[in-house]
Amino acid sequence: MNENENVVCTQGLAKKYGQVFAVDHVDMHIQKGAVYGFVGENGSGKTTIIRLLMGLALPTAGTYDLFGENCKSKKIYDVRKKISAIVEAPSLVPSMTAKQNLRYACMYYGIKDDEKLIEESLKSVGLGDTGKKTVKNFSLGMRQRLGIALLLLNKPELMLLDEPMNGLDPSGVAELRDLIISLNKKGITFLISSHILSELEKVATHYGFISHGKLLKEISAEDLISECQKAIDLRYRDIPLLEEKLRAIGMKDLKVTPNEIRVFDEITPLDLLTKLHKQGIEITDIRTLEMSVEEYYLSLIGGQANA
Amino acid sequence: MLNIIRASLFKLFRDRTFIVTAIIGVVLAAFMLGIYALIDHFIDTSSEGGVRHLLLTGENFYLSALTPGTSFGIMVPINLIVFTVGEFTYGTIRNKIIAGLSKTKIYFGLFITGLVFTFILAGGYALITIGLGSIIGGFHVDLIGGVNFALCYFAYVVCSYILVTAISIFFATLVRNVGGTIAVVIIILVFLASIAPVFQQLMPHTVNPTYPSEHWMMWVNPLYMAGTYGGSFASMINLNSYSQSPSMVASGVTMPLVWSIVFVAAGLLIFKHTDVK
Repeated sequence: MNENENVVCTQGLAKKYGQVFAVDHVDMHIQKGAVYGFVGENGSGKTTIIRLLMGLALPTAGTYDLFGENCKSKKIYDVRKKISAIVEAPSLVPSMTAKQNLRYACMYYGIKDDEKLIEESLKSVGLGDTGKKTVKNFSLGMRQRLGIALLLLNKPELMLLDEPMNGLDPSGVAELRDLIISLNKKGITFLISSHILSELEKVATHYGFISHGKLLKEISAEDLISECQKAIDLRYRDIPLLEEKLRAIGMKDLKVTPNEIRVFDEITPLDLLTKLHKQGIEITDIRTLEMSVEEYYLSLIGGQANA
Repeated sequence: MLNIIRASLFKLFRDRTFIVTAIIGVVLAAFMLGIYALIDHFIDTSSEGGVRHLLLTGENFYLSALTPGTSFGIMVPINLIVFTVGEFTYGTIRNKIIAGLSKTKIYFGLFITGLVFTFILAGGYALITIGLGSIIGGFHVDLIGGVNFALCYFAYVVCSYILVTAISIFFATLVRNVGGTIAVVIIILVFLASIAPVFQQLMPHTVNPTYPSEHWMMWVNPLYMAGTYGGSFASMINLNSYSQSPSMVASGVTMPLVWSIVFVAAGLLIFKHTDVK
């Protein structure tokens, strides 16, 4: 599988509950090696898509491929062995200790000689010293960490994390972020749904924005940065002259104030400076105004007024 | 498949419900023996001829206690249901699906683990009842039905518990709620196990005089044979006249197995075509 190939590809994927589409004919693509930030409001269909991809829910319509294998193929079970997922919350046996939970998972994964692996997994998430404490006595954050340790057991190539930062304290969030970055560097692809968009921005290489079951947009982090650019503020000693030159190079959406001009047209700062330079204008003070991912999402779903 | 069963058994033996149930089973068995011994002590049962011996032997204690519909027979499905529904509520089924295990393997894994669970409980229960019963009245004192009868009855009970397991897992998978499933399963099992003697009394014209317990219901009700004799043991009826025809033996073994296959197939079909939360 090449770097640019999709490890997840859905075609018209839909899930209907009663008369309502929870997932409405979604075409989604996750490239190998990406950290795919999945953004959407509560009930937008993020978890349902993850559940569909993991075989927990059956699609009403459409299909999907995982690592190039169609969901209806018998090989899909083997392909799923390359995938780990936390859906909503980690699934753990409350009456067992952390170690017993991992040993239990090793058994159904068919992993042998598990003792060393279990110790390493627990240490990697900071749960090496929980001893005989059973999971029912764990904090939410500890359960989340144990859930992550469980995911690492089968050495996955793709990890689907549904709200993985839920319940983690700030240091836990930072540790998880570092873990995601380091695992991604080792070649693991991620799909992460999260409400903590500021954290998502730090790790995501691609985004998928979903609302009311419909995938509104898929975009790379690079393209998102340029699309998030709301306006460019320019300062110049001769504002009327600057306005004249801006109009001359085709800029139409301008807000002129005595000290600066705000350009709303779609153009990168570099292109704008280059064009102005050709007009004999040398700008020394330039600022870009950017939307956050949250504002971008709200603008996509038509909530600009709230942004 | 072996991995799933191994994992399920690992979980089962660390399940507090299972451990508590095993202890309750021991206490219940001892309690029942005590009750029987008290009845024998205070009530003159000798007039029934042989009933005294029928009650107070290890073998009869064991047989009378095992029938589906008795306290032990009710304890088994309750625990199976708690275990199976727990697999859904704790999300361990979800983990197995995510791990790339097919739903067919997972369902069969549940069923086989359920069987192991049932027969471990039955084995433990047998040890207590046979052990204590034998101390009181010896293991095998003048068994009226004969060894063949005892073996046939044992086969009915084994096949019945395969069915009890199939029914419990079927409804646990369907309902996925402990309280609701227990209510449904217990009602069904108690009804099936206890309806046999009722049919014999309500419709005596269908009774074969050579084989008093033979009835067309034995080809419909999978717990008919186990229920018939279990009821007789429990109510201290002399089994002298309870000879068995080949068709009775055949129905006692095949009907629970046929219905087990039906419930396993139906459960698998439902499990494969429903979402897992």
